[in-house]
Amino acid sequence: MKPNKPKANIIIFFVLLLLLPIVTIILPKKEFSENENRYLEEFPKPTLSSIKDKSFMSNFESFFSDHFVFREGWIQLKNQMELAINKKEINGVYLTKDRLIEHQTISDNGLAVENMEAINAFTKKYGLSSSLMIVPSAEGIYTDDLPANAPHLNQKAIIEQIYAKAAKEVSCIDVFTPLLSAKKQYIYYNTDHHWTSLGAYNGYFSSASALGFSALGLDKFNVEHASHSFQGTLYSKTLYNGIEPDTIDLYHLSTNDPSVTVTVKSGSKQTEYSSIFFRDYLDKKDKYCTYMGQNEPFVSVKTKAGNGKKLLIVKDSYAHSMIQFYMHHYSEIAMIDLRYFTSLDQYIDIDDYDQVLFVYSFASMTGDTNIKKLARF
Amino acid sequence: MVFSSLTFLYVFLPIVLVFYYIAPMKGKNIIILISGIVFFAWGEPVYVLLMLFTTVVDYTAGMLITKFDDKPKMRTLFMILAVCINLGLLAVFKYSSFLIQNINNLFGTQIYDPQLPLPIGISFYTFQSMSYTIDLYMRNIKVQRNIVSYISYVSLFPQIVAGPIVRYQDIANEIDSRTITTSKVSQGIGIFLLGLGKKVLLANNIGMLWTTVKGMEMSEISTLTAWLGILAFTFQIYFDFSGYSDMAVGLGKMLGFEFPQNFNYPYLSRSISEFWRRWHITLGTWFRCYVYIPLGGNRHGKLKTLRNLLIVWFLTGLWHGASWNFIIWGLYFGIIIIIERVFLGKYLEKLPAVLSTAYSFLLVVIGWVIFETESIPRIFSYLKAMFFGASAGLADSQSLYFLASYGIMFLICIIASTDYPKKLAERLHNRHPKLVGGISPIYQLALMVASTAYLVFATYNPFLYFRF
Repeated sequence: MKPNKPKANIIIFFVLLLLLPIVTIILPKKEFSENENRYLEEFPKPTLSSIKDKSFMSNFESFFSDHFVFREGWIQLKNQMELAINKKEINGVYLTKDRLIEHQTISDNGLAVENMEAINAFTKKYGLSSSLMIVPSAEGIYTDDLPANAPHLNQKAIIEQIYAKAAKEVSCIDVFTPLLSAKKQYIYYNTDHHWTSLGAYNGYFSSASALGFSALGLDKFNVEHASHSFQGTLYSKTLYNGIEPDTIDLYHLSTNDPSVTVTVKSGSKQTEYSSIFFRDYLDKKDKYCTYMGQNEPFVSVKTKAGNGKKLLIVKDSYAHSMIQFYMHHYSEIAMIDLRYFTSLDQYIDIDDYDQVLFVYSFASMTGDTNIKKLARF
Repeated sequence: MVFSSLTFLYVFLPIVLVFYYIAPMKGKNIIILISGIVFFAWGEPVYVLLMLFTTVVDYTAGMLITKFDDKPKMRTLFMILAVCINLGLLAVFKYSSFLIQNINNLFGTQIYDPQLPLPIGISFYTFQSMSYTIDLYMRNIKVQRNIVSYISYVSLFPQIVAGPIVRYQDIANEIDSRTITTSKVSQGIGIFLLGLGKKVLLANNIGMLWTTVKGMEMSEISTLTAWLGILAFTFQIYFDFSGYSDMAVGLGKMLGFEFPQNFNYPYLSRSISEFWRRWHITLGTWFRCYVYIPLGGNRHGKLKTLRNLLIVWFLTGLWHGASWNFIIWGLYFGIIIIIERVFLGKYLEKLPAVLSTAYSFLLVVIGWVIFETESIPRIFSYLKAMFFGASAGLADSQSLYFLASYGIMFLICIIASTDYPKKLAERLHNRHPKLVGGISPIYQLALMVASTAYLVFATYNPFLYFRF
């Protein structure tokens, strides 16, 4: 090689070294990352104190990496490399042939029982007809699809252990068994941690005898495929493109959205809607919110069922897609999210309701510290 | 700042290199000085003053030692003064908590522990700066009168926080005049990217396994898990540290410096004595030059040699961290080296390479258990799980999952820690120089792109209200 002839690796190195930061600087900055569900870092102001406590440095590093050019493309490249060396887990999500499955862990072993005892205490105190449904996650149902020997909890056994601590006044609904037998059907989203409308139908169907109504057959419903482009939270966690986007199905008895009055209360703010389907979300990132919107402290649905029965659902977001079924059996359904409650009468008068149904996912029942509050209400 | 970050790679480095290359030769040290201070202050905005103070102490000592060239007592006084300040600062900032805790435990006293945070790189830059004063005193080098040059030497950003420990004599000629050639820069880029890949692609990934195993309860760790875990650490620390050293050497070359080699395929060693000639070479050199030989080395009889070896290995352990497990780790190697010197070495030389390499590797792996476990009882229970069975059995599904997830990674790590890839590349180069010349830049590009992808991923923080 001739001396001083510029070498290929010098050119390549400096092109990347200069081009990537320059393009990063020039490109317009996004404010919000939908996949990460957070605002991206803004350029930090250097001040004497922010330099001294290093917050300037760490904020600058976040700013630069948050806006790095082709950010998500780099991550997808990294995912491909991980798969090439047989790693099938990204950010706590297993990549399987058909679906993304979130890995569940339990950090506080006593919490589920504490939560159960709080539900017992609440039920006894108010003397309501009370039912509990713990919904397994996809990892509990699709254990065979997990990578060989991948660690996973025995959700069926854990749910049974929790149910064994239920007071006799609380009817425990087994939704694990029906979901397991329906595992060939589309009961969980492949890119999101929720169950689908069909999964929720299974929950609704299994709860009928505990709640005292006869469930409508699946053949009674018209299914509307409202969107075929739902990429949920598990997609966001992994940015893995190997799984097709999900479908949002809406279940109707007639062809029109049923006429209802939905009231959402959050603090002193009150908003009304005329459908249980929040169709605005079909064009947004989190399409699961099409079912009754985001988590709010209090959401009520007044229906045309005309039987005067009122149901209170204490829940996490798994309950949202069940409303399309329950609405045919109750004149009024109220959903409350305990995260926003310090006392019950902030939003509801408990005497208004005939029945209370607790709907919690496996993750919430074993990991949510808000359910315990029920013991104090 | 660390090399393996997007900010270093794509903000700091391009800015520094552009200014450095366009600056005239006389101005290049100013760029090194400023960049070194910014680099250090990025991680230690307050302690940067401490680092500069150390530098000024040794610079001043150097000037005074030279000024009183014909007064041996004065020379000795200034040398001792500088060494005491250097070691004093190291003792206060690195070892005071450890010392106070041990005194309190031992005597039941209640001496206040200020719990000073450890300044990044203090062990490295203190040893570097000290080497100058001592070498000057021993008349191994000439005085550096230019304070910019001297501070540039200590704060030279490629090596200030994680070595190699570049002694002043290593770069005494280059600090004031050096040549930068395209072939040096090209070589430097290759070494730097190889180091980046070692750190980001190998060490960080295999390290995730060790992080998981380290966090597990002892009762959950089967024998296979224990082995996989500590082997993961064995590769993590090697690729992390040697990757960092490679990056430093590569950056040094880009700037026109030749830093000493710090690692030479240590896991191929056939004895522990050889391991320490191949692992963190600059630290071993430092202790030999400034502790072992001044103490008399092996020239004053067996007993003194034994004493000197134990002192050096006690200090080597202590240098790695202010905790008992590091001291035990250092003495562990000291004792093995003494045993090898006394009789075992002769037998090791006669053994087939496979066996002696296995002997050395196994002892090093056991060493890493001591190194990585601060709780002494856990060291024993971990070793028990490795060698005498674990309550979780020989293997469980967890360990099989680890094996499936990291098997290929282990294979890559094993190959990459031997010199076979290098030998293969050299053989190919001799036979088909054009082919290798064409592939090598593409290989380097792949390393850079892949490392960038992993660095970007590390900053991806999905913030999802999952549970509700």
